Amino acid sequence: MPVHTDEAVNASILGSMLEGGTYRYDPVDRHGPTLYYATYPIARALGAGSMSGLEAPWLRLVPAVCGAALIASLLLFRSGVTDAGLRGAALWLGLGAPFVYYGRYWIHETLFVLITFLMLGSAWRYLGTGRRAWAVATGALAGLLLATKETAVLSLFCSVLALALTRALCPVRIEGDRRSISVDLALGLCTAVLAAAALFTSFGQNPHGALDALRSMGEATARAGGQGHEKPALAYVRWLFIPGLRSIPWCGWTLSLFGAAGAAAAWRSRRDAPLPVFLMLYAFFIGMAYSAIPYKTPWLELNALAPTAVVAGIGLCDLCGRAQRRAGWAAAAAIVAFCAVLLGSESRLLCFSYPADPGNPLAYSPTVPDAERLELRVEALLAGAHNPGAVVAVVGPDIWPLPWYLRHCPNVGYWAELPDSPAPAVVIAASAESERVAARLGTGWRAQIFGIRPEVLVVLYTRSEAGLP
Amino acid sequence: MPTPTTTLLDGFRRPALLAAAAAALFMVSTAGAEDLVPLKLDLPKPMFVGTPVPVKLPNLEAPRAGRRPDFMVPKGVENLALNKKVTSSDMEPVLGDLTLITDGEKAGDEGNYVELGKGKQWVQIDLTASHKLYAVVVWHFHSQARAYKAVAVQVSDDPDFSKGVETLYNSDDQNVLGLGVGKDPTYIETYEGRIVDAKGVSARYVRLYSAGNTTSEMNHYIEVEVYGLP
Repeated sequence: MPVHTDEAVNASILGSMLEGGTYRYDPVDRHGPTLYYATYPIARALGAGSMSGLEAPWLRLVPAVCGAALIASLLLFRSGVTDAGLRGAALWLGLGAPFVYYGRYWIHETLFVLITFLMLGSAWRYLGTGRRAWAVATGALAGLLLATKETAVLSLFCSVLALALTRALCPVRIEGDRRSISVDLALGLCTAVLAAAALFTSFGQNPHGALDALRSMGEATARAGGQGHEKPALAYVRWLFIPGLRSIPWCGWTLSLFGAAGAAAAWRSRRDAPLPVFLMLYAFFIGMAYSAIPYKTPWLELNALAPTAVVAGIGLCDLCGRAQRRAGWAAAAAIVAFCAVLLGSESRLLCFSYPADPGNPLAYSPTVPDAERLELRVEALLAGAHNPGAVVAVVGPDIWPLPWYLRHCPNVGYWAELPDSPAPAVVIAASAESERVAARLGTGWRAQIFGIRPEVLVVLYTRSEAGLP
Repeated sequence: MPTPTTTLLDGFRRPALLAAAAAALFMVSTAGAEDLVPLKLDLPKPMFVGTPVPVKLPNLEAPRAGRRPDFMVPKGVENLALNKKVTSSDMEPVLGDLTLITDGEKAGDEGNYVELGKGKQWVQIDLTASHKLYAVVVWHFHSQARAYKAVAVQVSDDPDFSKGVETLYNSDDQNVLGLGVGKDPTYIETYEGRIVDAKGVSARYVRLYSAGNTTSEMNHYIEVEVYGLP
């Protein structure tokens, strides 16, 4: 799967950290630092000292581990959901195309959803046990959530709203007296602030980071307006339910079918088991929140799909139980196997056969395979030039994710306009700049066109008389 | 063969003008001295409504302002490829089927194109008899700005293209296809399709190659038309 522009930007930030630079939180169009701090030890352990030392599979270890940990985090819900229900949820979290797809994408979302689940699970444990450690853990995870993405505000708001409504509908009792609970809440809140502040200030090295984090809310509010990513309110519904060019959206359909069954089962047993009701309400509120804001990207749907998967797991467990009672265990096994085959077939197509295809609803402005061909071409040109100082000039604003693909080139520079000096051996121009670049280069240059993203083309100029092949 | 016009020749110096006139006379005479008329194409509605990618390159065609200049062909030419049999290096396309290539429908909608597998692929049209050909028009995919890699068009009377092969177009500057290094320009797909000058050559089979595109490694065809005298 080609490296997405967002992954390339993240790699550039991590590369600066590896080169010894202090991470400085940038509130303008950047997310929090958690992803970089989570990946930094892996990159260091594998010997990377800069962006050029990074490889995509290493970076993608982080979301892959987060995806696996998301399944393991279900254990936190054991006292509120049956084991069979949790195993059902694991089916979607482990095989569902959106989870598999973004479990291979080194962006913030899978980590964000994992932290959300850990936070909700810790909070559930606190409610059930009254142990202070769970309150502190919940606070720490809320702080991590804030330091991962600005959308943490939505998750926190929806979880509080869902909890309040669950308490109104179901008998949720918190262990401990009122004074003890107040102390726990205060401790949790302090831990959240401290955790977020530690990360945003780069552990004290960038004190302004804390203020920048507060200021980022204004930026995030503006970004929520769309900034080119505006979609209709039903965009997530469309992505989840309408068959695409490459597959039938089995994950969306099965989540809906078994989610509805799970919601009905949760409602029936609300007096004894309030957690499924809470997860159902949380999934509904967070889904509505992300649908209400104009800014939409397909990975944001994970926030609603993950809790829905737990409700669907309860539904699958309920339906399998009915099937087993009527037709034996083979019928229940057949339902589970059928779901697994459907989910697996969709994931195989979208995540492995056509991961960057324009017909893949999960591929959002993906990097196209042609970018890899461009990388190979440039490397071959430089190898043939027999000049270790050969300069590659990249010209123009819309050139991402080329910094990732050209990270092994020793002398690559990025300019708004073609520079007079140093004289480049290879020029890559964004299509918008190509006319000016061609005029500046004059005759004797050969041009080849490459795609880097759908409908985003760049032009590679090489000079044959310079000895390049 | 396009007929030179006085407008085109206005900027030429006298020797160039004379040479061009002589060449035009020669080509017209080889075409059988038929009356030349503009080739009429039934074009689908444009789907690519975004700003065209402004690329202007030595070997990439400049974006054109206004309508495409008429491509002149002898009177009486027809689309000989319509509903003719198509074969391919990929006889089990990923999407669609090969009949779409000659069904006369050129809209860029989903379901109206055939997608062949990754890398180098070709399609071949059997015109059922040898004809004098004047233009091959190809629509790969035009609902998105993209350029196809290593586009080549060949004609032959041999279905295996092992003898009597004439190359009409070749933009394969890396010789990916193994047909030789091509010098023709890469171009961005539009709803107008690409007109390849067939120069009046006689052939029964038309073969079109490509090797992926700037968006994916797949190969696509919406329609191919082959204009010649019946």
